[in-house]
Amino acid sequence: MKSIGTRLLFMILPALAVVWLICSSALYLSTQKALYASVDKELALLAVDTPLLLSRPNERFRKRFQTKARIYEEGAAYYFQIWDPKGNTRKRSPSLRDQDLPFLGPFQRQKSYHLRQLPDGTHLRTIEYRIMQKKKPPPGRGPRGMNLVVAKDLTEVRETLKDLRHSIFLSTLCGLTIAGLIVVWSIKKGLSPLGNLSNQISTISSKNLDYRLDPSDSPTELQLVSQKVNNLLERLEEAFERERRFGSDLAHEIRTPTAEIKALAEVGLTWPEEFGNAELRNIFQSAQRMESTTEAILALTRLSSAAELEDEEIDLRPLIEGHIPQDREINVEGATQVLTNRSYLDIILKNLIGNAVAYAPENDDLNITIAETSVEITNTAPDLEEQDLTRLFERFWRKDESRTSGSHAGLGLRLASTCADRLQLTITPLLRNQRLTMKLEGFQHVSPPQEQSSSLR
Amino acid sequence: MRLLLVEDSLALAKAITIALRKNGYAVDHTADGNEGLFMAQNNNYDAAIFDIMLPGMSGLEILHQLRKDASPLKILLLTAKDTIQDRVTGLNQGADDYLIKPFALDELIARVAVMCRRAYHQADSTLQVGILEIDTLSKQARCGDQPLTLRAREFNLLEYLALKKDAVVSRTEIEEHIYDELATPMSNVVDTAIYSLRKALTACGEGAPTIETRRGQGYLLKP
Repeated sequence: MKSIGTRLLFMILPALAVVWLICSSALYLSTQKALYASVDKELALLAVDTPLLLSRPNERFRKRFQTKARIYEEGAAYYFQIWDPKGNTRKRSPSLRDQDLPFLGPFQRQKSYHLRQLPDGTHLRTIEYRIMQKKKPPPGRGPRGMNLVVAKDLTEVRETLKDLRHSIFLSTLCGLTIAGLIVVWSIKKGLSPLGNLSNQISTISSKNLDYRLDPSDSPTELQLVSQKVNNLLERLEEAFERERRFGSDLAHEIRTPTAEIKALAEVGLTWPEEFGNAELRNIFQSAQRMESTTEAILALTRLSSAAELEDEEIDLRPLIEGHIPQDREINVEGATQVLTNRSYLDIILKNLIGNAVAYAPENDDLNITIAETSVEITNTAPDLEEQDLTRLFERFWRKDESRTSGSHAGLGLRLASTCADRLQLTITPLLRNQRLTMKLEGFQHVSPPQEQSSSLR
Repeated sequence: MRLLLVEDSLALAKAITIALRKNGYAVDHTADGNEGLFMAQNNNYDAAIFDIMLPGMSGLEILHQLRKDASPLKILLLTAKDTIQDRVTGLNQGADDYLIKPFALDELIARVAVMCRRAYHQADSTLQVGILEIDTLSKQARCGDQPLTLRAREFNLLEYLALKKDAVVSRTEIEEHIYDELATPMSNVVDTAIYSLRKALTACGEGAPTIETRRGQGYLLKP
């Protein structure tokens, strides 16, 4: 039962059947109750006059007596039987022939209605009660009064109810079939936008990620789904584009030095007289460039999946000074003690400082400012533009698209950013008056040992 | 044949230049895109090889500018960009060929040779002038069964005259197509080469092609 349509069908149809059954039962029971009520009313009227049949009628009641007597004639559908207090039959209707009505007395004075059966199996509706006599019976003669049962043959009522049951059964069968067809059609019609959406989505592959669903054609419930799918597609397209660019950049970074090595080797093999130390040095440099690219890629992969890090207290100033090249003068101001992972911080500082040194003009005024929880590295970046700041941390991004500079693959800042993420630090690039500041912040500051001891004193 | 190579990887450019020169081509090289465009616009090259990612101006931009100027220069794009989209873009912009790095030098030389032949509407790699047969691939010339002994420059001159057969070729034209910018040929270098070539052609004997001098115009190779 995988499809929503089937699932809905299996939920709605039984529910419809139950509702139909309850309604049909209610209709049947109310009809039955109404029919019995009608019979009971009839019996109640009959019961009023039936005691008259016990006595010999005088002139005044003769006509009424005869009318009553005709009701109970042989073959009629009405019966009565009267018992004395001892249970002996005092009178019974000719319609009973040689049968007796069931006597379950002595009865109460209160009239009560029951369903009984004659010995021949005829179903009856009875009214049973005790007729009070004016004379008080002698002592020891039991309760005074006669026990009277008036009954009506229920064959007609039962036939009516049987017909009703058949009608209900047939209408249930037809009704449920028609309802089922309507439900199937409605589900199909109602779910068609979902089917359309599914068809549209099934056409999307990695080759047409620019495809967008049109939410205006969808019902309100699916518009949000369409929008969400569109948002997902947009993110997927961006991710695919990023990966494609990464693949293309990686290919370029590896292919170019490979081409250099291969072409120079071919020259050496074909024209050995043209191959000397300079060419060997070129091959060595190309191999170095490939090595640094591969190392950086591997480092990025390792850092992204590294296990738990161990933090230690680090004095930032000497660590920073250790990364400044000896042939370059950089102003370092401030000092702080922080709690973080040394290896990762080392990679961040190495790349941030290395980047500033590599891309700043010669004799540029490079500054490093150390605050309590942050470090700022500032250098001149004559070619950098504001819109470049968002791309600084992309893999293989370099301002010079030709990548002529062989020493940098464009992975250093990405490495620094990955390490910063692991240390829960942030690197923010700021460009003011063509001066680029890389702000590394979010350090957990710890007081140096001297401060701690002085505060203890 | 004179070629322009615009490639910012100096190591690669060096290897390509050596290989092309060894195969008889005169090669001018620059690593800068702007300079590459200037050289292509101001020199009479037979074919050019452009990298795409270049400092100053990309190879595609140079290509676009040259085609905008209706330049018929045959251009091969030599790049690490390998996607179908990159290739389609390059070819649609007007490139005649596209080669992905890393590549085999032999393949590059073969493709350059094809471009040069196309530049002179030549489908076959063998040129025929009367009884003289010039194989531009093996760089050998023969008169019937008799092979000719020619130096590289003489062969290049013969090949160029054969490509322009039935047309007078000026001395400047020969200088532009046979010598690269580093060679700075003296005015009598062409005369000397023509003299040597005429001498070599006498080995063909009866029915040998001749190089006719047209005063004030240039030279004509006649079958």
